[in-house]
Amino acid sequence: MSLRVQKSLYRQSTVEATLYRLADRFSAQLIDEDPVWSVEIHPLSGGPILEDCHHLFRTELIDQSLRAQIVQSTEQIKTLILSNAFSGTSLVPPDGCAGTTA
Amino acid sequence: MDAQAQQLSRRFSAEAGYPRPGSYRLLPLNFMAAAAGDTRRYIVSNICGDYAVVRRDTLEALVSGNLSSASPEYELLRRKHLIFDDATRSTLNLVAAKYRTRTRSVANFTGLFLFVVTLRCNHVCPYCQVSRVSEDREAFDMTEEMAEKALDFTFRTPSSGIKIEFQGGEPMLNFPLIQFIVQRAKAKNRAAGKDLQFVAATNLSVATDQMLKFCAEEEILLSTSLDGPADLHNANRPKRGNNSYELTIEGIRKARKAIGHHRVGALMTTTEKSLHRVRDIVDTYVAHDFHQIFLRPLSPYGDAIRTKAFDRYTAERWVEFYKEGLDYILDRNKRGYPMKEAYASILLTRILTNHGTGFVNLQSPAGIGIAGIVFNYDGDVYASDEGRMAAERGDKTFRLGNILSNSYEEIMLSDSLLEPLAASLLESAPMCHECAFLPYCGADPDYHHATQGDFLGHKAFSGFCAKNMEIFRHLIGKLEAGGEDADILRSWT
Ligand code: SF4
Repeated sequence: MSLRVQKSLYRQSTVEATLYRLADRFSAQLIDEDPVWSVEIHPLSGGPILEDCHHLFRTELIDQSLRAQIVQSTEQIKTLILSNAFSGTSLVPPDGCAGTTA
Repeated sequence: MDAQAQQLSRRFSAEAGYPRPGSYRLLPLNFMAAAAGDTRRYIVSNICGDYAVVRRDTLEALVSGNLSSASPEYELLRRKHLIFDDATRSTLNLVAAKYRTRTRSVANFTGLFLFVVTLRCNHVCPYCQVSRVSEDREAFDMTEEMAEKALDFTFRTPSSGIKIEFQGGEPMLNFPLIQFIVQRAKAKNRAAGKDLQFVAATNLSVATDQMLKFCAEEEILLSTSLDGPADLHNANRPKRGNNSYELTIEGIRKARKAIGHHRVGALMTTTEKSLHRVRDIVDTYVAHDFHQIFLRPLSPYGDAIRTKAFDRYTAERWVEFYKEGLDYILDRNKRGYPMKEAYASILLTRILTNHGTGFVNLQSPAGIGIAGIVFNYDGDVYASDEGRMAAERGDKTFRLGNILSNSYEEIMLSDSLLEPLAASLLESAPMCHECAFLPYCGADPDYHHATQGDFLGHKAFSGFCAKNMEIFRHLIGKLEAGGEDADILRSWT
């Protein structure tokens, strides 16, 4: 039985990151069956049973989706912080007005 | 638009880019379950290692922008620099400054220089990480010419501190070269003015009074191997006469008397035989008045691979051993004997402070070559001690050149160094770049090369990752639980 993941809800990179992180628990095949990703899971011998693999996949998928949201919303700030860290330029003017940070 | 408005519009972003009054913005952060498989509590950290432990619902509210500023977690996350709002915009500067401090060690460059003055040894330890040869093989000694060149190289470092570590084999078997190196380094340092330190990693069994007198005069620290009680130590370190333990203990006593109690340290290695003996091991250290112990796993290099010693226990089993040992050490502290576990101390320093630890295996970019470098007995230069151990087994991946024939630039800019450094960066590695422990962890290209044939390694299959992740969780769990254990752990930083 394969799991079906809505493409409108989860990006390919999110599904792939999920599978990568769980690679020691099961192997999997990702198939594009527009409008869904079909994920065929094969438990590894000595690893969790199929039902547990599915549970692991679903939990991790949500975590990966949260991670993708964090990256998206903090990308610019990260660049600013890193450039400041290595240039020493202030991100906030001395008067505290932070107009240039967004 | 007039000129002034045009100028302003270049300096400010569109209004939609600013947070609404009273709302917050996330700082770059990562999260990880607080315990493996637990979906209730999460460790959330920022790029400079500040962390908080929050419930799952808090994490979800945080990321979706729905965390109420009236909730107690809001203040915690703001204080830990995981979010900022109108009142705390200076957090950005603070986080940048902390990040700069954390990464300063990269700019400091190489500070640790290992001189393998001989490969000869009087022990035949089955897990020895370098192939050893009998005591009479002069062919396995470094020459003065090589040492002089290696010192020229050493003093090219921009680092303000230089630590020269004598390694073997048993380095004391080539003591005249140690004397030569110490004297020449001190002479060079009169002009360089670096903070110069020496340490010798020795089994102490061949250290004479004369040698110890020299170590005392020249302030050379001694680090020896003590694997636990006599039966365990002797089983781990076989030697003709089966008296390695007795010689080591006698050596420690003599060395302390000659150079000072606290200038003699000891290291242990966990073999399969050690796994059920962690309390005995700690007790042995206490009995011999050591106030620090380093619970070290076997590394997958050199003869530890050939003799299959490395494969005899799993990462999970070692973590179990480590946790039992840590609890026992905390217990000894509570009973009035102050003692640190060295690895926990390194990790806690990374978790709780902004200071670098200089620990070569916990850095990104990796510490190979740029934090520590090895001059082998034959003049070959290696990016790490593990790299030269692998070379003894025929894998010269981490050989950077030879001190007699290659320049500083050729060695430090060699592909053998730059490739593993670039390939193993955690900040761009799958799994690591999204790991809450990234600010405390490190790239270990030699480990992953030895175990997976790849500098980066797939972290889902990595024993290095499994061990570190579990210990990070364990230590943070103890800190969060508070009480006496947390106080003791905090005092180790
Ligand atoms: S090696 Fe493991 S613990 Fe370390 S940063 Fe990578 S994923 Fe995290």
